[in-house]
Parts: sequence; C-alpha cells; structure tokens
Amino acid sequence: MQSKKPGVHLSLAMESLNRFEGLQKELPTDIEFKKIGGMVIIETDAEYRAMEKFIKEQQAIGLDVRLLDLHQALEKEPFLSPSILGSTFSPLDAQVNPINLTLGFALAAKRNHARIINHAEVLGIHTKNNRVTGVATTRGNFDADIVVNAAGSMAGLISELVGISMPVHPRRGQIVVTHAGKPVLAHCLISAKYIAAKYDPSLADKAGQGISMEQADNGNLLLGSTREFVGFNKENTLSGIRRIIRQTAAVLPVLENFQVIRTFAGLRPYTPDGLPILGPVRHLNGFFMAAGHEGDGIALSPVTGDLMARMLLGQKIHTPLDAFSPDRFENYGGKHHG
Amino acid sequence: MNVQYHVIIVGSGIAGLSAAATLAGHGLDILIIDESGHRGGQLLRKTRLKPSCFSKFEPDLMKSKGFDLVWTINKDPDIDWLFNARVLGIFKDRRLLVHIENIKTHGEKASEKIIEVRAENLILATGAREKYLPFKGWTLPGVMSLGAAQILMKSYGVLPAHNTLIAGTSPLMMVLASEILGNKGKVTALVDENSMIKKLTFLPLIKNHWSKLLEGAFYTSRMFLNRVSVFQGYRVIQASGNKGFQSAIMAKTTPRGDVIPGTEVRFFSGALLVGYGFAPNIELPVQAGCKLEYQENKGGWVVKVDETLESSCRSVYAAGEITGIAGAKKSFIQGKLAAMSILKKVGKINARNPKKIFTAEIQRLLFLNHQQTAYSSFLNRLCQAPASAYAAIPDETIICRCEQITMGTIKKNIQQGFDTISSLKKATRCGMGRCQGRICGPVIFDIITALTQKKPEHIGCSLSRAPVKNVNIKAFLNS
Ligand SMILES: Cc1cc2nc3c(=O)[nH]c(=O)nc-3n(C[C@H](O)[C@H](O)[C@H](O)COP(=O)(O)OP(=O)(O)OC[C@H]3O[C@@H](n4cnc5c(N)ncnc54)[C@H](O)[C@@H]3O)c2cc1C
Ligand SMILES: Cc1cc2nc3c(=O)[nH]c(=O)nc-3n(C[C@H](O)[C@H](O)[C@H](O)COP(=O)(O)OP(=O)(O)OC[C@H]3O[C@@H](n4cnc5c(N)ncnc54)[C@H](O)[C@@H]3O)c2cc1C
Repeated sequence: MQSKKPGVHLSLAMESLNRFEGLQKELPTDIEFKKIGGMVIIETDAEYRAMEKFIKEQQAIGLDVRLLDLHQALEKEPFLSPSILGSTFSPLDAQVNPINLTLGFALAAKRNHARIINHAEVLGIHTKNNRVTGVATTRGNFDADIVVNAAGSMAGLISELVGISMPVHPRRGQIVVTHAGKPVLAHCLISAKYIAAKYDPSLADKAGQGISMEQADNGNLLLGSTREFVGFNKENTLSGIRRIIRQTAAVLPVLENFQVIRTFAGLRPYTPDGLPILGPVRHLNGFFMAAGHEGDGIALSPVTGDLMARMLLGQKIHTPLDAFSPDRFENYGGKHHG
Repeated sequence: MNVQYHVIIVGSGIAGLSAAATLAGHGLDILIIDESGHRGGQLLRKTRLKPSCFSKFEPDLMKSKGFDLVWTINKDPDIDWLFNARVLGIFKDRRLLVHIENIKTHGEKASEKIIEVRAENLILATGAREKYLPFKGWTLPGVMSLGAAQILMKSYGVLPAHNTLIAGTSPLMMVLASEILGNKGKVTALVDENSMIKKLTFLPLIKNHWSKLLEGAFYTSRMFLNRVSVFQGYRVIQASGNKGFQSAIMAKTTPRGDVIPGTEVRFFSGALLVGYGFAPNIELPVQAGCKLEYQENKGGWVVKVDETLESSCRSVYAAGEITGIAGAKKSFIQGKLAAMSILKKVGKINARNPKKIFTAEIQRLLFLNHQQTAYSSFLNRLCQAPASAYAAIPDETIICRCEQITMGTIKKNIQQGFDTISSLKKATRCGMGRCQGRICGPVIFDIITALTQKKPEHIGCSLSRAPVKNVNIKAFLNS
C-alpha cells in the first residue's frame, strides 16, 4: 500500500486489498495472504523529509500510516540496523504468494470452464471491418469477438500486431533469494529510496535504486531489486546482485548469517505515467488492454480482473477509470485501424 | 592472479587438466579454477588407506596420465591455479563470479571472499554428478550415493560401514565394492538392476573398447573371489531402519522393469550405496547461455558443441562429461581438442607448432572422440533405469528432498497438466530449495517422461541462475 502514489492508484490498490481476503477462501490454492504490515526504511535526513511529506498525502486520503523513530522501528523489527534513522509503518501492507495466486486464478478459471491453451504464442490478431475476429497462434487460430491484451511486459508487442502503439516497456527487476532460515523479518520492508526510484527516476539515479525485503512463509528471504531498462533481457548482472546484497545487508545486518540460494530476474510492464492501461482501445472494436502494472501487478490483480470482467460484460462500474484508459496514449503513435 | 585471462578452465578433472597441459607453453595466460581442494576431479582422488596388493593393479591408464598432466602443468609459470574456488555464475562477456574459500592450515576457515575474473576464452569442464532412482526410505541416514562413499574412503579414509550393500545400475558399483574389499570392508551384496541378458544385448556397443570389458571381467572376478553375492535383474525397493539405515528389501524385476511380487528378499547391512548413472553438470553452461540438446545415449541434457567443441556461445568451449557421459578417456581427448581449437583460433600455430602436424593431430583427436560414441551409448543405456521404475515410485516417497515434495504430489500435478520441469516447480516447489534441483532435477525429468511420454524438448530442464551452489552472504560483504 505504502508504495502506491496517493490518488487513483492508491484507491485501486485499496479496492484490491479488500478483495484478497475473499480470494484466500475462494481460490483452490493457499495464496498465503497475510496483512503483515509494512515499513519504509529511512536512512538519511533528506529521505526523512521526503517521507514526512509523502505520508501526509497518504494520511489525507485516510491511509493508516505513521512515522516511527529508530527506537519504535527497532521494536517492530529488532534485526534492523541501529544506523537507520527510522521508518514508516502501515498495518495495511500485505504479502501473498504470487505463484500460488497465479495458479489459483488459473485453476479457478478452469473450474468455471475457461480453456487455457499453453505453449501457444500469439502471432497475429485477425480483424475485419475495424473489429477483432480472433487470434492466430503457434497452435492454430482461435475465433473471438473480444481480445484482451494482458501480455504483461510484452503487451506493447501484441498491440503492435494490430498497428496500435501502446507504451508498455519491460523494466527489469533482479531478486536475490536466501535459504529458508529462522524468522528475522515480520513485515515487508522497502527503503525510502525505493519509493523515490519508483516515482522519480531522476531522484533514483542520485539516491540509488532502493531495496525491498521480505521473508516468505517458508523462511526464504526475498531481497530486491533493480529497475532497469534493458529491453527483454532477463539475465542477472554481477553489479545488480552485488548492490542488492550490499544495500540490504546494511539495513539488515543479520543477513550475513544467511546464504544465497538463487537469483532471478523478471520484467515489469512499465508505463510512462506509472499507471496500468485498462479498457477498450477506441480504434479497434473488441480489443481491450489490461497491462502495464509495473511493480504492482500482483497487488492489483484481483481488482484488474474484476474491472475487466465488468467492462467486457458491459456492466456498470463505479470506479472512475479515465486515468487508466488506453485513450491517454492515443498520441503515442496509436493510429486508425482498417 | 590477473583479472583477465586468455583462457579460463573451469574444472580440473581429466578434461580440464588435459586442456591446460595442451595450452601450456604457448605464452597464453591461463587460469584453472576448481571448487575442490585437489586436482584431478573424479579420477584423481587421493587414496588415504593403504592399498592392498589388488588395487595396485590399475586397470585404467588414465589415472597415471592424469598425474603426469598435473606435473606438466605445475611446472608452467603461465598457468595460475585457484583451488577451493567455486565459479558461482557466468555473466555477460564471460565474466565469472568466483567464491574463494581460504582454508587455513589447521583446517579452520579464514575469510572467504568473492572475486570476478574475465575470460577471453572459456573452457567449461565441470564433469558430472550421480543420478538416483528414489525408493521408500532412500532419505534415511546410511543410504548414500556411490560417489559419496568413494569420497569417504579416498579422501577421509573412512569406510561407509562394516557391512555395505550396493545397488543400482552404475559400473561404479563394482569399483566401489572392489575398493571396500581392498580396504578390509565387507560387501553384503551387489544388487544390479540390469539382468545378464539385458547386459548382453548392450555388448555389441563396446566392440572397440575391449579394455573396458577386461576391466569389467577384472572386477567381476574380484567379486567372485571374495564371495560377494551379485544379484542381476534385481532392484532395492525399500530401505528401513529406526534412526538410520538397517535393512533393505530387494525384489526381482521383469525384463520391462516391473517388480515381480513374491520375490522380495531382505538384507541387513550397515550402509546402502546406490547409483543410477550420471548426469552432466550443465548449470554453468546454461548460465553462460549455451544451447543444450537431449541425447539419451549421452546421459540426458548435454551441452551442444560443434567439432571444435565450441558451444553455441562464442568463445565458450565445453569438454568432458558435460558434452556427454563417457568416462575418463573421452574427457581426456576432449580437453585436448578444445585446447587445440583455441590455439588454432588465437593463431598459435607457428614455426614451433607447424600447421601440418597440428592439423593431423586434430584429425586424430576427432577420430578418437568419435570412437567414444559407442561406449557412451553403452554406458548410458546400461545406467538408465527403466521408465516403469520411475512410474512405480510409491506416492509417499520423497522426491525433492530440500522441499520435502513427495511422489504423490508430483504425480497429481503432472496429471493436472504441469508436465514441464519449470511449471511443475512452480506448482509444487520441487527444485526450489537449497540444492536448486541439482539432485531431483534429473529424477523429475525421468518421472515426467515415464508418466506422460512427452518429448524431452517439451519437458525441458531446470534453468540455472547464479549461484550454482549456496554461498554465504558474508563472502560478498568481505569483498
Ligand atoms: C523483481 C520483481 C518484483 C516484483 N514485486 C512485485 C510486488 O511486490 N508486488 C506486485 O504487485 N508486483 C510485483 N512485481 C510486478 C508483477 O510481477 C507484474 O506487475 C505482474 O506479474 C504483471 O502481470 P501480468 O499478468 O500483467 O503480466 P505477466 O505476468 O508478465 O503475464 C503475461 C503473460 O502473457 C504471455 N504472453 C506474452 N506475449 C505473448 C504472446 N505473444 N503470445 C502468448 N502469450 C504471451 C506471457 O507468456 C505471460 O504468461 C514485481 C516484478 C518483478 C520483476
Ligand atoms: C561420483 C563420481 C565418481 C566417479 N568415479 C570414477 C572412478 O572412480 N573412476 C573413473 O574412471 N571414473 C569415475 N567417474 C567418472 C568420471 O566422471 C570420469 O571418469 C572423468 O573423470 C570425468 O572427467 P571430467 O574432467 O569430465 O570431470 P570431473 O572429473 O568430474 O571434473 C570436473 C571438475 O570440475 C569441478 N567443478 C565442477 N563445477 C565447478 C564449479 N562451479 N566451480 C569450480 N569447479 C567446479 C569439480 O570440482 C571437478 O574437479 C566418476 C564420476 C562420478 C560422478
């Protein structure tokens, strides 16, 4: 929650959060959803001032969040380094197992008679009289009145297939995973630098890319991350791994008793304004976008699915959606389709 | 130590050694890195216990060749050695992330650290590890791999137990039994998955490798002389014991590999050693971006190489077991071949090294390398347990030891459509633990194959990312 920009973005996240508790029961997998609360670690005076301001905005719209001094922060997370200045805390931040969540959605969709066709790469989108009629894949053609582009960081490539330019770009994130150890973290932690990196890249360059840390249910610590524009390259880099380890260990010295078992990297679907693109594409009937959640795609998945379903079924939606509309990128090179 | 070398060789097994010796003396900066503290890989483990007169007879010439190579290389000032040093990862432009463990003289650990080195040319010669066929009780203490027992004896001078039962498909079984006997241990029995008839059908494959047959005959006669019972066409189906291994049940199998009910026999023993062949250590090549190919006759997923032993990645060469399991001789040949390919590439064929002789030598090595193909298929067919054996693993048997994932869970998820290594991993966590699937990966591959008959390319193989093995965060902070 705390990492979301106050405004439409945060309200969307709040709505999603409310849906997660139901999903824990509704989905056939254990999604390990827990409202464990989260802290934003503050290491410098400049960060302190920036977070003070950020928090005020969040509090103004009713988010339960407060500033903690060093003593209070250490009370919540005794393994934090005493060299930090303090932190924020919000009980609303939550954790979920993203793999189980994705599997859960897939199995639940199947249960409701959705067909999932794996190993089928979409090669083209069929259109007729300015409306979609289906898709061509490596496993054959499929007819459809509606095509939803939910290709994540590759969504830009999919819309290119019908000559529509959508500014979704891959933004790489690297993660370092430790062995499953004793509990040392009770909350999800991010650094104030992370918030800076997320919303103000110019600031990020000066302040470093920021870190995130959490301990999964089984004890693995997930240490992150980077935010890099390197095309579709999903490799890990030496400098990325080393920086993550150095910066997380500075905040959480107990890490020196842990072992790295793996690193990995993924691509976040970045959009220029940091908001996802949700809704119908005006110039091609039946073509919808549901992509571009960057670093929030897990958190926003329940509300995204819900909104998209309502849109496709033509039901009434109470959430104002203009800020997410594909129309906002019309001048990005989006052109008429015939 | 430099930060950059003309050639870096990962692995000082017989493949790495023969590559280094071939490269020596040409004015190239060469670095050999090995995670172990000794040179020579699987072949040249030091022997601590006093050998009996029997084991003085060395049926394999490769070992003495190996010792000669070490001697040659040690003399060369252009070759740096880095031991107790593990390559954790390979990054862009052949940059290696290396973990160095500084062992103090008393054996106490000094500060470990991480370094980076870059190779203009890289020879990967990381060898192989053992494969398993899980059975009820295979995780009990006292049940161990043949290789582990070998290390216990050769490096530490410790017998696995007073009485040892040996089972599997691997030719190492006989070697191990022989070593145990040589060190005054007892072998309860040798339980060989392959029946005599099955072995005879493989025999034509080794027609050009009579020395291997001799070796086999030598070990067999040794079993006979020591009155070791050898059961062929039998499989250990269960190990039991209170706190550790105490007894095992074996049963006879049909030619197809199904257990015949009513043929069960129980053995009491102090330890059970098992081995079902070898799987190439392909983690580093995968990280480097080398393409793999699945070749049943080569031991599964191996690094795809061209005639010069260059992989699909420019300037990354692969030699030895990682291009196909075939034993020491092929590793020796390939190490040399890879080195000569590099010499040729960097223009080290000169007056001292005339082209004509050089080309003839390459031709000879290519021929020898090709000759090993038949032995390779023999070895790998011999070692591969039948598909039915993997399909019949009981539901409660643990497959992924790190994450404690059972056969039942794996079966259920395969039936639900998670029939690739990577999707099954996400669905069940198998292969997500400390060992990152190094142990269970090949087993799970065989299970999926047995249950679905899907193609290897569909099933895939575990992806590898740095670190190849667990590494202390402390090491990063020290450097
Ligand atoms: C390091 C890292 C940390 C993150 N941390 C968080 C976090 O803490 N919280 C959070 O909420 N989010 C986080 N995210 C972001 C989150 O993972 C993404 O926002 C989310 O996965 C996006 O979901 P998606 O369904 O839009 O896209 P994806 O999950 O990328 O799914 C897109 C799918 O489309 C398929 N596809 C693409 N092209 C084609 C084609 N041509 N044909 C057929 N199929 C195609 C792909 O195979 C893929 O299955 C993180 C991301 C990274 C990399
Ligand atoms: C357990 C086992 C026991 C065997 N015992 C015998 C035997 O007794 N007699 C026999 O003839 N054959 C034996 N073999 C077969 C053996 O594989 C071949 O005979 C031959 O020695 C292989 O040579 P190689 O150079 O290809 O690989 P290896 O000899 O396996 O050498 C590979 C080397 O690479 C190093 N290495 C691997 N990964 C890394 C890394 N990431 N960083 C740094 N170093 C690394 C290893 O420490 C090792 O020294 C055994 C095989 C196994 C798996």
